[in-house]
Amino acid sequence: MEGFLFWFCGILMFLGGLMMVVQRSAVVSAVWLVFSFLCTAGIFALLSAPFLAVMQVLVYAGAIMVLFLYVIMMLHGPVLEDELIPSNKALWPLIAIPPAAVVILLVGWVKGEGLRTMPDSIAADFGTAEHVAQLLLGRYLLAFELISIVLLVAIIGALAIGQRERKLPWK
Amino acid sequence: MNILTEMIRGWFGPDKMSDQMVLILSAVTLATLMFVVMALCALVFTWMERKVAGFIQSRYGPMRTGRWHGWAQAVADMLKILGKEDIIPAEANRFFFSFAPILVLLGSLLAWAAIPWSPNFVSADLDLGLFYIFAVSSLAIIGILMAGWASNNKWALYGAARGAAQMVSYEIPLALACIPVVMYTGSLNTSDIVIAQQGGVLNWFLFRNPFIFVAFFMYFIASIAETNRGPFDMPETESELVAGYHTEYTGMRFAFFFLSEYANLFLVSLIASMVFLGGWWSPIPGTDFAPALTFIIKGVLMVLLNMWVRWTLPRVRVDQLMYLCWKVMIPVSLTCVVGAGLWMMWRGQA
Amino acid sequence: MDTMLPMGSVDVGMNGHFATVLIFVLIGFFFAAVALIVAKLLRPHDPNPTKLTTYECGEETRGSSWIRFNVRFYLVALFFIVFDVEVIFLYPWAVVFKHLLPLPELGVLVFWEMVIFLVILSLGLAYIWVKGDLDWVKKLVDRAEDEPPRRNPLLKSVTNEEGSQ
Repeated sequence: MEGFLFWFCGILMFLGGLMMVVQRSAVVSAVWLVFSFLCTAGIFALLSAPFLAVMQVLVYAGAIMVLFLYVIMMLHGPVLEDELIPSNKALWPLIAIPPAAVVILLVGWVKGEGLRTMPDSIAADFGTAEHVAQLLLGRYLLAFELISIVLLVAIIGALAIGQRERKLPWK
Repeated sequence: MNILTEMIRGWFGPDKMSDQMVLILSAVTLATLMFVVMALCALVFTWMERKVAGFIQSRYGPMRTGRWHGWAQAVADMLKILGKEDIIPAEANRFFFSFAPILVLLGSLLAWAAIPWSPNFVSADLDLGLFYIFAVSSLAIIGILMAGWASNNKWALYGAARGAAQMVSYEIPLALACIPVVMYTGSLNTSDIVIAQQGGVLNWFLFRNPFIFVAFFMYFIASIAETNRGPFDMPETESELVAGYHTEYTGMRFAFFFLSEYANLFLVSLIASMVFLGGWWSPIPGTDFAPALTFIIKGVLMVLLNMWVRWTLPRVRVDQLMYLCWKVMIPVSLTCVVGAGLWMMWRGQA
Repeated sequence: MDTMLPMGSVDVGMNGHFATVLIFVLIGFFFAAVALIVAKLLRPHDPNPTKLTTYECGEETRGSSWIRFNVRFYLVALFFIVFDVEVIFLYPWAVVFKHLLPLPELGVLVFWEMVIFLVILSLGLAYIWVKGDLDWVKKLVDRAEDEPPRRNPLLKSVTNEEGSQ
């Protein structure tokens, strides 16, 4: 059952990603990205990482998408004018090269390393909020405090981008 | 949930079914039950809201349908909505226009899965219950943005943009206000949060700690804004934006928005009751005869309070809305978190 | 959980509860579909071009509504993400706080670790507050100092009466 769900979520996630790439309208592809994120959350849940699963929904499917949709709505209409220019069909095979390269590398890696499956038994609290907190406040404390600095920089950066009206300092 | 699994097991004979089948069957039953409860609460609360509004404005409200105080008015409205033509504007994006109401509805239904109705009845007893509720209810924001954008209507788009800005802003004080309680419980599991409040009204988190008392009011104000109700009904200000993000919606799709609005109203009230007001515990210790009923009564009282606020206070402006959230509620909620921590260090965990 | 909620004879692990959530998703879609299909069978269907125009209070619809937005909305979304991430980090801390508090030294240390985290982020909040970006209607002070305000000629008499602005 879990194996089936894993493949089910995985394939849906892949399809969501594919739909996101091939869509012409930026808003539509943003929504497909949400779909893909939700499937990722499902995979996290299956891999005994409930905290990551819920966080994936809260941050990515919730917060990031709101930002994406705002940005897109703010900038353009449904489809950009130059997006309507028919694409050159001859270039399409070229697009397949990077994903194909990734697949070949992955297959080669799996062949070389051997497929590592999940361990049969994991600690009962693995992936729970308690586990995450113990790691955050203990082993990764410095990284955790640095996150706050990163977020602070993000706030200042957001302000800098958003300030169109204000006088530029060098003028 | 265990009552249900035992029932299903007894029904089909003890060894006829695998554990997985029992689990799936009970989950299907629970989901159906929650959906029915959602629909019912939309019916009951629309009628109640009209009666409360009538009472506050010195008029009767619905009186005719069903004879006794117009109790059947909401049912009649529902039947009427079933027969309404479904109009999708020619300019709209058909797929997203149709999908948005379903997403909004799904967001509320999913959040209901983690509500602990009584000591042994919670649909999905997730360890991350409270966190999960916040996560899935943020999906509704995407639904609202999608609806507004797909309608290709200026009112709808403005309403959606405002609604999303308001809902994301107030999500922060809402989540922050619950943190002191999580600090006391040491768990995000919704049942654990209620269990920690055993022993009468003084053990409810509301009265345990002055900082949680303040946090409760932060939660209450933020929950009104999260459900887009007055005085924070910016997304659908009738006087300026027609009907906001659902301007173009008719018939059943409109009903979905309507249903999830009332479902969310009851949901935030139930969460308030669960997190701050002792959940299924009765106020007097030792009188917990009907836990589920106690829980629901507390929820309904919170809904009434919500309606009272809606029909009493005038609507705020957008700038006041943002002022209240970012300059008052977020700093106060943050202070509550730090203060509750200091209090726990000073007074122990009592 | 282990004291009050024995899950009966069915072993419901973490995945079991998430399976319930998955079934909630499926049932949600199922009932939405049922409701829409029932409505489709009952309702009239008689579209005409006028009915399908976008509603603009009865006036002729003008232009697309997919227009540019006020930059405020974007800023609010950005601030939201920053503070949402903050809240997400607060939750696991809140869960372990009670359990770590009785331990000597460590409890107090864990508390101050989070206070430092919060103070740094509060600096960010203070920064946007001071810069005036939390006000929905931001005063454009700098522009007003540099150039005289553009006046609508029709309003000239009014502004003159009020004195210089």
